[in-house]
Amino acid sequence: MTARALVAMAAALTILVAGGCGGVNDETYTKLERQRDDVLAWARDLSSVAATTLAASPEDATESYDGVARSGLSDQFKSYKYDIQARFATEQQDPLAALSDDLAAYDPTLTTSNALRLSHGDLTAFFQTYPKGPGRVGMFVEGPAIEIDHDQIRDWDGFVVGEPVDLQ
Amino acid sequence: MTITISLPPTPSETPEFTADGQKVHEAGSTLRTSSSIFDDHGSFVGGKAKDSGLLDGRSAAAYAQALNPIGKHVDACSLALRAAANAILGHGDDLVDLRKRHQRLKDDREHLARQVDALTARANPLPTDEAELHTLKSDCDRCTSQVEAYESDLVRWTEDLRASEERVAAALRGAMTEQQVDQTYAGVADPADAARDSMPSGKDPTAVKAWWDGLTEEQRAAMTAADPEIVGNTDGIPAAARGDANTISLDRDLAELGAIPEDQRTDAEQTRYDNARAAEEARLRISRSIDPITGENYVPQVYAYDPMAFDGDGAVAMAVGDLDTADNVSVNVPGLTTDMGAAGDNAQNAINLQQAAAFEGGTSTATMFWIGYDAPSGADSVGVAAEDMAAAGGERLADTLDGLNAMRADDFHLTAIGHSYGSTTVAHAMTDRHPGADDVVLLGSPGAGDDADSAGDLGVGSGHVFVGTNSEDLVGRLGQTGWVSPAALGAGVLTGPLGGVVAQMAGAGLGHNPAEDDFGAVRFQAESTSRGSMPNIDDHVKYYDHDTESLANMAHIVNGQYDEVVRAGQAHDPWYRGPVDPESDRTPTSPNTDGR
Repeated sequence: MTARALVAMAAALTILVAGGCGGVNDETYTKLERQRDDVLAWARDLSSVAATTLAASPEDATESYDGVARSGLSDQFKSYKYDIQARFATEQQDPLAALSDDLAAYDPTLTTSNALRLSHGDLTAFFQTYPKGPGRVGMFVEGPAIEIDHDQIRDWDGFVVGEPVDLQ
Repeated sequence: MTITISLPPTPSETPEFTADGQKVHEAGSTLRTSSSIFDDHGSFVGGKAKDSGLLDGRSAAAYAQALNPIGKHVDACSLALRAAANAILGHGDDLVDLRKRHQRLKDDREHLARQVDALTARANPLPTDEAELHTLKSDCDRCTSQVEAYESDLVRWTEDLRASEERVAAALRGAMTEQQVDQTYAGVADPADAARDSMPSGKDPTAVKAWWDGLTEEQRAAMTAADPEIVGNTDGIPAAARGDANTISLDRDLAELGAIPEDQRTDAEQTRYDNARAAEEARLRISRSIDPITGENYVPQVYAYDPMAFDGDGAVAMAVGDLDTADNVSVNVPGLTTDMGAAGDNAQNAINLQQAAAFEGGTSTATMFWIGYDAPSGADSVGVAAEDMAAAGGERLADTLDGLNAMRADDFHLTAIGHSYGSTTVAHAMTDRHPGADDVVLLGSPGAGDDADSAGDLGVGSGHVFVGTNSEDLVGRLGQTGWVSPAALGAGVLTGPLGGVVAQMAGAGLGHNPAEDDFGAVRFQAESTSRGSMPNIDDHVKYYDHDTESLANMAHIVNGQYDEVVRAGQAHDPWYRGPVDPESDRTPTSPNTDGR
């Protein structure tokens, strides 16, 4: 195991041991954990459909608690969201069109020629293709930013970036 | 006339090859970090503790007798580990290269196999037309020679793989018992010592580059492992070497300090660990981010890492992309409240700019965030009341820009970008030192510094000084315009913890508002669709957000696509009333900057 992996694991343990990111508001933490469950469940559903549509398994799937929406001039994050990303290597000629058909229940919209946006309640997902990455399709699933109590911002310092996650 | 047609042979199967050179390289890096840790401990045990002055006379002699051998043993272990690490790192590099060649071979093989099938089909039955027979013969001969070239490439590839495996196996077979380690390495001069002794004493990055180029591979590897703090933070040393060295330092801090229970860390250790964690967050953010054009993950390059700099505020610079080779390089300087704890946030800004540059057509870009000066932060924020910190930061930034130019032999495109107080810092670097940047971008600027009367003073030509100011960005309104500063008026409405800081900045007189017509810079559109209806702080921190005018325009500047930069009307300050900003009446747009 690399030092980097050890550090990531240590950060994850920090959160688990502390019952959250430090001594933070239980209600906010619960909200974030609920978002994690919702995003993970939807990401697994999407991944399962995409695996069939694209005839490929998800690769490099990672999860993250992402600090977002910087607060004025402060260097602390004032909100967090949970997100998952993964990618598929496919031979499908028009993967976004195929995904759009198979995921019609989630209001698919092409935001550009190479990105398909999906909605599920307050959750958002994107499937993206890459002009110079033929056969590669990225999947991104995230929840909305959850505001942190201003006086607790400093306690939210143990979030995890880029831990592997199982989407099966 | 007889025509002999020989069908091309079916190309041999490309063997399975699943080795992951990156992972092997990571293992080598971790081992090299261990070697560095041993080196530190060896130096301490073998001498530094005694030399600290705490021990004297008989106690010092007893220390030397008891612990010098241990110090030597630990040093020997460090050298043995380094030798193994270097072998594994080399093998990792080989595997990365072999994997690329393997993919090419696989593609070639598939293509050739299809060709052979097609030719076999054409030959069965043979065409009756003589011209067609001649064409078939020539196609078969060409394909045969391509198959032969493939077969010979495959043999060379197999031999190279075997040679690399044999090299690393031979090096690891030399892995020894503790006794053998001492016999082989104890008392052996560390190649790093001679290299360090020959290092230029001044800061001239060109001399440093010449010195580095003059070292042997062994000396460079030794310096990297034994003195990562020096290699990682000396301007003129190539970015890849600095990245390797800083990776060692960062991994070492995370491993060593993370192993100490939190309640047993000293204040200094805790500060160092917190800053290392912040740098790690930045590194992870970058490595998790994806290029919107290729779909590949970015590779972080840790260009500077000094977690105890500036009384514990820390210094770190990290690039998305390769600073040694990218055609377009940008250095992004943050401002107020920035210390090393903000590394993750600044990494996100660099990622966003890198993604936007790629999306806008940039093919070779490296975007670096640079927390390399003592920016006003925390209790330091009073420093914002004067330009001293920006001027001192400007000196350090100029050193960094000079270092980037010295380490590159080619003519690359360099853009210095400053946000908030960082824009004053960039302006000072450019005005006071004229380092070799091609373009300058000032974002949400509270002023371009007292030394700059106009854009021309920054030394890159006024057409290459670009300014992005959201019309409702309070900080962007603080610079001097006309003959009455509006700043103090704006400061009066501020409340909250940041109000005092900005109020000080308002009264500080940080120079001209670069968005004003008198200054003569190129102002680009930088409004936000979520722009406030009155001057505010939130509009000060949106410049790097995706799908904003400012990020799209910055990407064009970084790519050197000057015609694509969307110009904005400059602010002006008539004598009979306050400053007027034509941008405040324009409806903001939201250009796509990442393909989503």
